[in-house]
Amino acid sequence: MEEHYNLIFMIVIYGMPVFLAIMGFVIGGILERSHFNSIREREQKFENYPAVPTSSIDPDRTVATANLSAASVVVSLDYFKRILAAFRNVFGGRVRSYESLLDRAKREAILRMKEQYPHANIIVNLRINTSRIGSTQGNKGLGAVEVLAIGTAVRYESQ
Amino acid sequence: MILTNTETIPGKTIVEHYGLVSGNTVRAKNVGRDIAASFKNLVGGELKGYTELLEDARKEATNRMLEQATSLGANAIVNIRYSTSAVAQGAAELYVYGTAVLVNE
Amino acid sequence: MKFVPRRMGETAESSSGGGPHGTNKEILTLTALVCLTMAVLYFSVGLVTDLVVSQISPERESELFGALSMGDEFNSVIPNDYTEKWESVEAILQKLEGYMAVAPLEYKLAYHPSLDPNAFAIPGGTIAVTRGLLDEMEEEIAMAFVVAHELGHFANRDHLKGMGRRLGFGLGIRILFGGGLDSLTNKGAELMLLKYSRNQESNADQFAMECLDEVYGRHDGAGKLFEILNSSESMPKWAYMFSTHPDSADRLQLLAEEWR
Repeated sequence: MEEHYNLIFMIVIYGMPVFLAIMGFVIGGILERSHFNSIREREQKFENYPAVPTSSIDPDRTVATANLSAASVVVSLDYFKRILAAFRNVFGGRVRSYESLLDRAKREAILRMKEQYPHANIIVNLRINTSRIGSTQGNKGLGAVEVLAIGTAVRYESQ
Repeated sequence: MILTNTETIPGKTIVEHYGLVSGNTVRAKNVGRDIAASFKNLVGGELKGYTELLEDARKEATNRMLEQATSLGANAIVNIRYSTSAVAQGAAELYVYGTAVLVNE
Repeated sequence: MKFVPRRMGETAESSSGGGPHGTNKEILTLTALVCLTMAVLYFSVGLVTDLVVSQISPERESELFGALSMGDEFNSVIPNDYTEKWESVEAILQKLEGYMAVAPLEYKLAYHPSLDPNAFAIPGGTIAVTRGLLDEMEEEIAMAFVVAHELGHFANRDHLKGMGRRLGFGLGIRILFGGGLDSLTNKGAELMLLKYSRNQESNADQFAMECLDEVYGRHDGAGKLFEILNSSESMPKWAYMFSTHPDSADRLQLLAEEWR
């Protein structure tokens, strides 16, 4: 009987990281795909509503309102991607798993800015900041990153 | 393709713009570089390995931004901003963004 | 300046990590690299360890470990009705020490009051036998096999070799992969070390068999301990990858095959 408890214990100890990694891979993958789909859909909706780092506006139109728009997104890697990233740390190179995460976060943050002022025509003076939050020491950290996007949402007088 | 970090391009007129273009890349250092850097850390000075690594990554991010601008039919990118941030232990993100514009030659 | 909406098409995704295809490629390359690194590390640590161990004489080793205390149970007083059995084990040890492959150490016997039949080779030349073992090993050849097996551990320098690997491999993995999130590598390393430990046990079995053939001229009935262990074990075969010792049934089979 004791032997069986030992065996179960071993399976839990050794199986846990494998289980977590598979779960991260499957569920994290599904979530990421659905997030990207939603981002693309909303970007399509805002096709005529740009957000740009420059500050000049259309000279032919008069401005009705101008408001500060700020949005932030905090994202974290799934367990599986975190393992991949940790392995990358050994060999160096491009960390794809982080790239897609940060791309999602930035596009989401910009979309949220637009959603705050859905009737504006353009966001000017856009600035995007990425910063790591949570633990910054060791690789036991949460792996959470905040993307902050700020800009001025400008609405023109209707022509 | 003209790249500037100013609002306008001196001597040229911007006709129209096509919105935001951006590129990012996340790079991890490797153990070898790390060990070399830890020695260099003792005496200070430039960490050549890291400079190279980030330079390389910045080029890659810029290329991605250029791809986007080209596909939009722009011939210049203005108000370019670069940002480097440590997103995880040993990994840095290089992000570049700007406004894709069309200028009169 | 005027805004003109245009679509950038596929390039909108140029920073999104290459999609699922990119991820799969990354998984494959990284897994391959990690496996390769671990294999290289394992073999180089093994090589260095064996080289270092070959430079340390058994006498030096026993000096190194001489100060090691064994824990109070190992110093228990032998019950009166066991003195006869105890003397027979001492006689066996003396007999086996004559086998030329036995490492030149000053061997000592120690008694452990546990009722589980078992024996331990303690670094420095001490062989501990449990009360359970004294109870169960009625035939001399059966007891001799157990003692010879432990002598095999000393002859093969298993303590130092195992310790060196554990230390070097563990340290290497920690330096390379860090001890934190990537516990997959730690677990993988642990499984590799367990495999090594099972190999050591099999090698010690082999040594014991050769020793008995030399000293007693036979080794039938030597696997008594494995028979007892086997009857109480019910783990599935694959579960032995988590174990420091091989499946007793397999060890019995090894003995039987060699006998034929």
